[in-house]
Amino acid sequence: MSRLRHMTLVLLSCAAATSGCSRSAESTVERFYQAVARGEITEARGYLSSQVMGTLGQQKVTGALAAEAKRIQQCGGIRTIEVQLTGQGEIRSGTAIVTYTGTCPEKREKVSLIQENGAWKLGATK
Amino acid sequence: METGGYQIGRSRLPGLAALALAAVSLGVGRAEAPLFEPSLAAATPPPLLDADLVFRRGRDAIARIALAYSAQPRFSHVGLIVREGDATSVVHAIPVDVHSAGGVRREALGRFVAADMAADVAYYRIDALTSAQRAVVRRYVLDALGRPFDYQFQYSDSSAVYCTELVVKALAAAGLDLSPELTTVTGLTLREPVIPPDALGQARPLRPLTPLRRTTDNPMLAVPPP
Repeated sequence: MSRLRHMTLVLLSCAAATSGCSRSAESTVERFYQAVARGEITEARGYLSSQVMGTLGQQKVTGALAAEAKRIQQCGGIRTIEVQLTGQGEIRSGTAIVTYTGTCPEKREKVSLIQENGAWKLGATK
Repeated sequence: METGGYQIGRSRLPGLAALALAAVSLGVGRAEAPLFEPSLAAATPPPLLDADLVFRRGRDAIARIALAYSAQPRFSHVGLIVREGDATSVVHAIPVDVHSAGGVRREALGRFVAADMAADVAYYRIDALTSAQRAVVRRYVLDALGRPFDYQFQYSDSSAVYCTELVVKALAAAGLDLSPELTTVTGLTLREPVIPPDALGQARPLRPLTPLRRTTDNPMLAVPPP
């Protein structure tokens, strides 16, 4: 029995190590774009850092994300999202390359993330 | 230091396989277009003086989304020109990122306006500034090097500064206080009104050194705000 328990623990540890115990910074970026594309503005807001929310205010963020959702819809929706990040500790930055189902050209943008209460949140750079 | 793409980060591939995948995902060994398209700015900046202003719109996704919702969006950042012989640099205040601790930094102009840093760039001059005033501005920003970035965006506190605050205070030190005439914005958690770069760019004493484009040339306005 104890051997079975030991094997279970080993398997669970391996699964945790390969999948990542918490949501990665990369997947946060991807989920943000996907939420905006679906028009899920409340969910998308949840991926933004408190600095972004505090500086811009909920009303402007909501309006801006809704406008971005409209733009993505006009592009036929998102086809692929490729995220490349570097960094260590509580900061990551890099690029996101988004392609669209329609004829819109791909968008290459910088993204920066900061960890807040254990979760990765998108910030804004200059 | 972690480097690599989304797939690599998730799968925790062993050394060589991860390295090979990283090389492929980063485009090693194949000819590829530059990551970012050229900046909208002219490749060659105009002749610049100490205390000239340089504005840029960065490549940041969230800044683009927020700026696109503004009425006349163009810039997300501003710095001041400092000359040293033939070298031209920019002193500016930036938040922390993976490359630096942030705060007031001096950076080569070429890096400040590089295609991966700036989607758009513009240069401005205040003709009313005398040589002596330009020297004061220069001294002010050089003295400010290393000062931390102001994440609270409090103009009343100079121990930390944000980008526009640094420029406005440097000009004020030289006797040109633009703050009373600048448009400000307020935010939910902001203790004080904040001066956005675009507000400074529209200040009367500033003369553009590069031709201003029509707002319809601005790709950020492809989808007008509702």
